[in-house]
Amino acid sequence: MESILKQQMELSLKNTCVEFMFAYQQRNVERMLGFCHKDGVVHFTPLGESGKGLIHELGKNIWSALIDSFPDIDNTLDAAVAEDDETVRCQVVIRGTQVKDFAGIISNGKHFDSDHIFIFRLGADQLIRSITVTWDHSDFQKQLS
Amino acid sequence: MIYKKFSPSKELAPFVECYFIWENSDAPVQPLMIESPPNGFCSIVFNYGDPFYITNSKYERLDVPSQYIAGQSIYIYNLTLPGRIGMAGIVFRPAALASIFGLQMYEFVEERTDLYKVFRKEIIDRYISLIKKGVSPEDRARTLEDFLMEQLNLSSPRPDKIDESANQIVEMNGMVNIGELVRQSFMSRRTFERNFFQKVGLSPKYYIRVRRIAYICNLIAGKKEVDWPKILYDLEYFDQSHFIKDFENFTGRSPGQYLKLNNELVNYLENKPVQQELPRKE
Repeated sequence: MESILKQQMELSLKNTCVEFMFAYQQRNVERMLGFCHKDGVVHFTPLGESGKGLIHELGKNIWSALIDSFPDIDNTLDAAVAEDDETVRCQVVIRGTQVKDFAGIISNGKHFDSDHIFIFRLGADQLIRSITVTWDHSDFQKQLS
Repeated sequence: MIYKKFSPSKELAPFVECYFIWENSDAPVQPLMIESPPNGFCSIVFNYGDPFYITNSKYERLDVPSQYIAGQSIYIYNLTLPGRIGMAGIVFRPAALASIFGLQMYEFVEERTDLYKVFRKEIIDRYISLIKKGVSPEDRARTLEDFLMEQLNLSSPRPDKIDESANQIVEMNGMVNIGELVRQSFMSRRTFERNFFQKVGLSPKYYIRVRRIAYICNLIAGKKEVDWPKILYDLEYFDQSHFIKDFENFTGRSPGQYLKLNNELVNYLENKPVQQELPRKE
């Protein structure tokens, strides 16, 4: 069992990302940020240049606004694959019901269910240095309209 | 080429799908290339033949350790075997590696991890030596069973609700209702999903998709023609475009292309392997 623990530590690259997604599921933004480096960057790719910024600023604001606008927001982590020694790709399904306007989308009380890809890059200290989030934004908007 | 499958003993049946022994006596003139779609199982493999490597959408070339744990695959992969083949493998039921060894299986998805990183070297070396000394496929399969029995005696695992749910998905070829599995587990949906992810490596819904595609690939491999409408009906795919998209997602090809061009192991065997009882020790 001692050697199994060693293995778990070596593979904990994925573990950080999985714990990040579990914190998101618990709608605990502070815990999510706790896995990220203070200078870490985020890119919500469908939002273009305005979707680029610091995890602790833009990321915090967007996730907080999402949780506020979709209070039942939830996710299911389908799979986590290490792409190289520092990058993990998470396939996630995010769902929720809108109760407030969000990013220019007027609330109609509709539900969304959307496949997302999170690409995490981590440093040697196991803290997240960058997150790239991709989803089908037109389908997201369509579901909520 | 020999490819034999053996059933586990009664004690190991809750955890083991089968043992396999794959051998050829002479190295092929050309490297042998075998492809394998995701099958929904994890395995432990001891290679006593020549080294080989795999290629998939993640790795251009991954030189596979001589003895390894393979977690769930979500991409189709190619094995390139340039020399003599000699492999003894344990195919585990989907949650068994977590139940027996306490492993977080999401860590192993799309990985081949050297057994030396998980078990004590002397244990692995002892069993590698016994497998190499084996005089027959049956003998080697029995060594695999002895290896597992030794591990089982250390941890005395019992299958839990996640094992039961995952095994049900396998037995039903993915045609199960997740809500029903959650209800049977007496857990909240969120707890069920999280425990399933930790023990199987994938979410229940995603695992169901893997298992359905694995079943279809198994049905069509080695065939020239199939009754697609019947397969779609039997697997409750009511939307053909959804089926094609799902199939392409996991195999990289349309179902029709896969039927014509697949290079699965069964194409190299005279007959599809039938699982045999493992002869008991004298």
